[in-house]
Amino acid sequence: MAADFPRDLAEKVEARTISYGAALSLRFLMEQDRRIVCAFLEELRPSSSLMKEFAELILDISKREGLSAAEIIAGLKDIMTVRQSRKIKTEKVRRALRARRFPSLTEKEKELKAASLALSLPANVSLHYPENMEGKKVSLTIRFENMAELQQSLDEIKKKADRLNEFLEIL
Amino acid sequence: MNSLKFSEIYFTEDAEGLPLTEKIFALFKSAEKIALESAKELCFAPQNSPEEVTRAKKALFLTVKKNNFIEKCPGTAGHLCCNYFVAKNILGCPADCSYCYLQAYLNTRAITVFVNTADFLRDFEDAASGQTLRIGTGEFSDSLLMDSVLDVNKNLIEICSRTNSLLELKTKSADVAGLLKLNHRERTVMAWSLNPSALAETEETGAASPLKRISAAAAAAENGYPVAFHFDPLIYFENWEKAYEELIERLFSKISPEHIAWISLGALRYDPAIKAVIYSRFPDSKILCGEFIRGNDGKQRYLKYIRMEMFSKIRAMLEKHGKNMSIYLCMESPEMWKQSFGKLPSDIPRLDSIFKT
Repeated sequence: MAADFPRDLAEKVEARTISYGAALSLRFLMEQDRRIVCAFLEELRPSSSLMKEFAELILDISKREGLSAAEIIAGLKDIMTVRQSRKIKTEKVRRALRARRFPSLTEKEKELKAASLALSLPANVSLHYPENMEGKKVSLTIRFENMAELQQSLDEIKKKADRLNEFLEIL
Repeated sequence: MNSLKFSEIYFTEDAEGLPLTEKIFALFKSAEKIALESAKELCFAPQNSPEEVTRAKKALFLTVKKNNFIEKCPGTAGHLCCNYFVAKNILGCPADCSYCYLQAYLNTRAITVFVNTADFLRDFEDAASGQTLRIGTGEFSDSLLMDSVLDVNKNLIEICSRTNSLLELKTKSADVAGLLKLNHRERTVMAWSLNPSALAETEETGAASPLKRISAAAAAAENGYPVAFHFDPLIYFENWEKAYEELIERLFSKISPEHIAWISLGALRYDPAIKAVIYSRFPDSKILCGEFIRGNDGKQRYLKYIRMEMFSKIRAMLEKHGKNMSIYLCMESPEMWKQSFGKLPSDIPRLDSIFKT
């Protein structure tokens, strides 16, 4: 069963310039705002899933900060006017909207990224924290070609046990 | 019939002629009575038609349930379970809380009432007398708001008074007068969910004010009922600490900790499907403005640091008034217990009756 969209939005969904997932959020904006956000998304042309994410973030920020969607889009002008690829613009828009919608999460992610860098793990080792910070289990990926390389990586990690503990404390 | 009003009453053939059906027809004479072949005729997708959720509040669906009136709360994978049993005689609630999960969970365009009350009571008695349960009617409805129509609570209280099970009547109503003098033998716990007045005013339409709920709880406690409180959903907003502290001070100015059977804490969480319903039905509500992330169970939950802060601070506010109360977290992981309470429920002996049954 399809959702009931305003006509202007339904036409864009039909024309496939706006994804159905995005329209589910955009239908809650006032017509003027909806038009501005649609134009923005049609210019950026992100994937369907990203379009859905952006529309959700814009709607949530608008509610959270008591701003019109048009004002939020205006805040992204700097990203949109710089000459760079659509791919880079899309990633920057995503980062900007996410940081605004999730300030505490973004702050925590920065803290963890800094702590991870401070660990100075070997280039073939990477540390991953749980998605959305739920839980305390982290994962460590070691890429190696032979046993000697694996042993060397494990020795390096062992030497950093205290710092690794500090990293875990942040979670 | 206080403020209950229904404009449509749907019913299935097997509900016709049953005493509760007749009573409801008589109570709501002006409501249109519509016979249905089956419940399927009332099915809808709430996230696609939020306005139907509003309509559903003003309609009743009378039908017969064959069995399984009593079910164990399924809990959530990876989260600690409080072994609760749910008694289902109504699905839906006449109150209209913006955050209510039933808005997206139920897909019937009416409040469903299972009118074969005798079967319900028989199932309830079998379950409650067969083993020691914590069992409640407040998961799929409000335990008291429809009782002027159903008049079932006095039977449930009487049944539990003869068993070792504990009945929990969970409500946002303040209308307890009819239950106060019953012989409950302390086997019924009267429970209220509480939120600060400022939130209740905007988010809990059709519910009694928190202060009235606290007064009702005091009356219940004076009449020997154990009482319980659910700070669920806890909602994070500007000045939340002050608002919850004031609420808790009000609570303990009227209720002594020894009357309290348990207190649960649960932060606002929701199925993603409900978001569209809330935005559509409560456009001015700010409850979804918090930092919600996708939890391991697929529900949207506050970022864990926000939950940890709320749980540990509210627990401290409560324990200022008594150290030995049974305070527990609803649907949280072992990690959350450790990070906000410093312990697991298995390390808190007074929670054994809740978590070890």
